[in-house]
Amino acid sequence: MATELARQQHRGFYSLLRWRSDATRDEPRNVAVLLIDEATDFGELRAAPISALSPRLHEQGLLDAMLAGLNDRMRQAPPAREFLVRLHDALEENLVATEPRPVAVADPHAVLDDLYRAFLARRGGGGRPMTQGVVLDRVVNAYRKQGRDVHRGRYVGDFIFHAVLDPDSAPQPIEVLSFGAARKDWTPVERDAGHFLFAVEQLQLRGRAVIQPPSDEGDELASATHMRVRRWLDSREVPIQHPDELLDVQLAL
Amino acid sequence: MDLDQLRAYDQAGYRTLEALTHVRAPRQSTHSSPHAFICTGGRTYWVKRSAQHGLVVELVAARLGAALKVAPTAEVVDVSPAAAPEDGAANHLLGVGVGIEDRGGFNPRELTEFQNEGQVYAPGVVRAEARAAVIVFQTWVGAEDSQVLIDPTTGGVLSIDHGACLPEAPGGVQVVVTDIPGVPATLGKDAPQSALEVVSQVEAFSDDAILRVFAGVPDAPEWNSAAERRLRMAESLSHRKARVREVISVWLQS
Repeated sequence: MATELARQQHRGFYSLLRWRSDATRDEPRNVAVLLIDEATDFGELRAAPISALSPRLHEQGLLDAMLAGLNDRMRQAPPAREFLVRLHDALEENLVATEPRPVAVADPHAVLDDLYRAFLARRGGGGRPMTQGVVLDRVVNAYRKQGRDVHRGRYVGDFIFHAVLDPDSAPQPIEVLSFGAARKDWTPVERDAGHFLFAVEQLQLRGRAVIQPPSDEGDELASATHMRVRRWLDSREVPIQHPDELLDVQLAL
Repeated sequence: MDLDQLRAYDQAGYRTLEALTHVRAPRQSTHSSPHAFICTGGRTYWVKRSAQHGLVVELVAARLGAALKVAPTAEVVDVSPAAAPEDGAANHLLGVGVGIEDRGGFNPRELTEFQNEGQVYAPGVVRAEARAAVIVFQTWVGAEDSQVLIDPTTGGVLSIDHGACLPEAPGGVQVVVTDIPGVPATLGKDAPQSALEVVSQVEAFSDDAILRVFAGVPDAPEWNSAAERRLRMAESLSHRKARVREVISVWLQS
């Protein structure tokens, strides 16, 4: 009576990565799931959107860098169970890994999807509002899929940027703004754009901006702030893109 | 209702989920000792491989309860050795069993321990309309050794552990009120409209709908799911359906 899928299942292993912003308070939250299937040489990491894990840009940057590095490591040479054991032993501070646990695997991609749903996916489903963090998630993912070296929440000199391309060779700061989610006060967005323009001028770098326009044409305050910020960026000849344009480039590649 | 129709509905088969990984053992040991597994689709289910009157009863009663939104959903779940923990703790669950969706919460036994150990549990949070709905359902299906799940954050009540219900002969219909620690047995009577709404939903189940719920069930020995037996249970349930309003109305006024 066993199903065909159950007959094909063999044993793989998974671990959860958990982030605790304060090691003393020890309030970890799941940030990624890692799946190893030695039988098929499969080793992948699936992470929750960074914007959902922390509202603080610097913390987002640290977490994103750690997860990106781990993902690269797993893709270069699909590791064995021992890799998860060593990871569990090594990570003790803000990022911790659970001990590897057995999981039945027939199709590793499907299993990774199911583990993500079980441990990381938002309950209740539905899309997330297009906040600045969500747009930044999309921008970073789009650049990574293009094969670009992109770092989130990265300092260049004294200034932190939402994202930086090629930070170690020819840094190109990226300002990411969103007018696509409702908010009561748009002045922090103006200050953010002002900080970006001041910073690139001080560093003498060429930056670029990715802006999610207002979704509600009736929101006059959002529209006014959007146009104001665009005028500032245009006056400094900062190229502006819509987030979808990055995806179009990715598709074209 | 007849056997040919039930067998025709059986032809549609049933969905089986595969267990992927073990989550945990039960907090307290019970007869069936279910364990929680994450299954295909990413949800967690408490898997059983034994029930007092056969797994068919557990599955069908949960299907009915889920349709009335008074019980967690149930699925057929296949647990392979690859999904079981390496220490053998869940080996009694290998094979095809019933998975009851994990909804969190506590059963009355656990709540009693909560109170005995001096930990705070606020019985007043249990919602009368939720309790009333479960009473109607458990009365209809003739639940013996009835159990409920309490969500202490929302006051929700769900019917669980359906291993002993769905009698093969109609018998008498008695109101079933499952004890909840600290909660008066009368809670639910003060939500007559909710109770009678669920009664109406029970009455809306056609004989054909009842028969379909009994169709598509595995047929291994632990399921005790011979078609003739399922037909008897379906006919009994249809008969009981006609008595539920009277029994619940008397209870509400008592």
